[in-house]
Amino acid sequence: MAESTFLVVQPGVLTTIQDLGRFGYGSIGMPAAGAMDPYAHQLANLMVGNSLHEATLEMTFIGPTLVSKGSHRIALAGGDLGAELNEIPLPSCGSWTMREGDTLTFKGGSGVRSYLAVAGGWDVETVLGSKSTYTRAKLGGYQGRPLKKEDSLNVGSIVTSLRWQGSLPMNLVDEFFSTEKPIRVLWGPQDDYFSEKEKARFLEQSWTVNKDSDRMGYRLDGNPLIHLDKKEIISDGVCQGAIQVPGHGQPIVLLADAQTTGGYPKIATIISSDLGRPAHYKAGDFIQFQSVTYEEAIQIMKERQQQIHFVQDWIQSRERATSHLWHIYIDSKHYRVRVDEKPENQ
Amino acid sequence: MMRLPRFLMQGDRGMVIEFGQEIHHQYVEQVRLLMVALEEARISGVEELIPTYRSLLVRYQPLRIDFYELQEKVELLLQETNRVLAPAFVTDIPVCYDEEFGPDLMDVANHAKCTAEEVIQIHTSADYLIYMLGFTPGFPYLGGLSEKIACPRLSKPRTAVPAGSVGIAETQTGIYPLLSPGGWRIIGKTPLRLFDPQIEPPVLLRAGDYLRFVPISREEYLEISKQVESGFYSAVRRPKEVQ
Repeated sequence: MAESTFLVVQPGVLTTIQDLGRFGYGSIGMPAAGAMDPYAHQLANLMVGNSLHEATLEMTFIGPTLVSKGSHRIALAGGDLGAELNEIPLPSCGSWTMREGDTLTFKGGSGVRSYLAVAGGWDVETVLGSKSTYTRAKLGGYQGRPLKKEDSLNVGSIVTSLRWQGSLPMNLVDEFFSTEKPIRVLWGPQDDYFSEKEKARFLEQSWTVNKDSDRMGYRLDGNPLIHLDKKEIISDGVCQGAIQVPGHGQPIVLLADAQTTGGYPKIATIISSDLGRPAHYKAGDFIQFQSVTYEEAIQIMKERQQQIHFVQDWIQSRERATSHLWHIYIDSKHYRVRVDEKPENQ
Repeated sequence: MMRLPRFLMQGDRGMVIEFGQEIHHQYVEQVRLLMVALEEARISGVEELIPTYRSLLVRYQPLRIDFYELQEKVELLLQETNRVLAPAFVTDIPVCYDEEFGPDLMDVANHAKCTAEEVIQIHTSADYLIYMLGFTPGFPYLGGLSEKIACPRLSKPRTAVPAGSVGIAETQTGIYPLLSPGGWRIIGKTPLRLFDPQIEPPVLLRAGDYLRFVPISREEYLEISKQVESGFYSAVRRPKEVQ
């Protein structure tokens, strides 16, 4: 029987196994962890026919160099990290086949985070209901840590295999990874620790992402916000996406590895549809926030679900079509040309 | 009849039910009562409950139940005044206060102007209320440390405090469940595991319960360590006596 693994030749900058998070243990102080961008993670799974919860590799700045043992369907979704399959550049969102001995590399690109799914999922132990790596407790994922050189990644068994492969049209998913549009928030729970004037300043200015930003939280720099009176609260519960403002007035956006409780006032909280967007910002980038109402947030959540269904439908429609991939060499330059035969009703 | 708490939004899938803004044992009790009631009610769309000193965070799926529907259900639960809390438990935490495990014990004693034995005696003669678990998985925030042995944090935190270390910071005392950095004054170490992801439940303690430190010798420490290692140790838990 052929081996069903990937060899890690280079680990990349920070590559961890993540799924949608370890929920249900917040009451014991266990952070949920999970993919920084849950939507990119879900798209990658969708393109290889996995369940949306299946584990993917979260790659940061430069992904790993992986050699395929056996034949595998893979998918990438997220920012552009300069992926190449056997030295042929790949688009940042799409699905391809890796055959025995094929090499996937990342040269680095304009993106910050991307997700690599494999049909069947990355086969690691489930710890407290999740495969997500939480590095601070050395728990979950691949031995509780980021990938290292010479690790060997096993692949699980395939549930649904898809025939379709290729790249996802960017207009379907552009909005998911945008670093242009403001990130939408709901006020609170402690916005009453700030005057209306300070709340307006929170929205008006562009905040710079500080270099001390990681999976736990992003520190933002700007004109400090001034608390009305108290600068601390007695610790209460924290959700991913909460934006706390410590005494110095520079906000911290709490993300995937956020602690479960915290003692600073939380001026606002990112709506769940935009929770994955900070993942695509790097140090020095500007972040701006926009406030929405609860009703608007719910509406956006419904639209986001529809967008995912739309991508699902699009893949299903390709599944019914036939496509041919041509490798054409002109003056020793290599071109890939795909000819799609569209299904009848399109 | 309970005073009605405040219902605050934390994003579009978090509800903070706030009983008060300061630390008070009455709030801890109210949080615990509501948590038990919500666990029993099994409301569809409620995903997770996170209790703290003074509030309960409810994570929910807004497409299954929205904030206002959830608030109504919680208010109904709060009106059931005949609810009686199950008794709290006290878990014994054996601690060896030898110098190799408690490098800061003498400093705490000097600060309190007493002997090391007196610090141990004071530290082990109270039941500590577990307000909440947090910071790292299983870390208990405890109330009830005697002012007499309160001691400021180290001016320079250690980069690595071993798992099981028992420390003091101002009027708080606690136990490090995992090897982690920390600035608390370390006075001893327990051989028990506060957090073990391989067992269910993965933590030894629960918010709203109590713990009591029990002094043990180095020999007892090693013996219990062995039992914990082989999975044969079971922690001593007894109902809290009503005072």
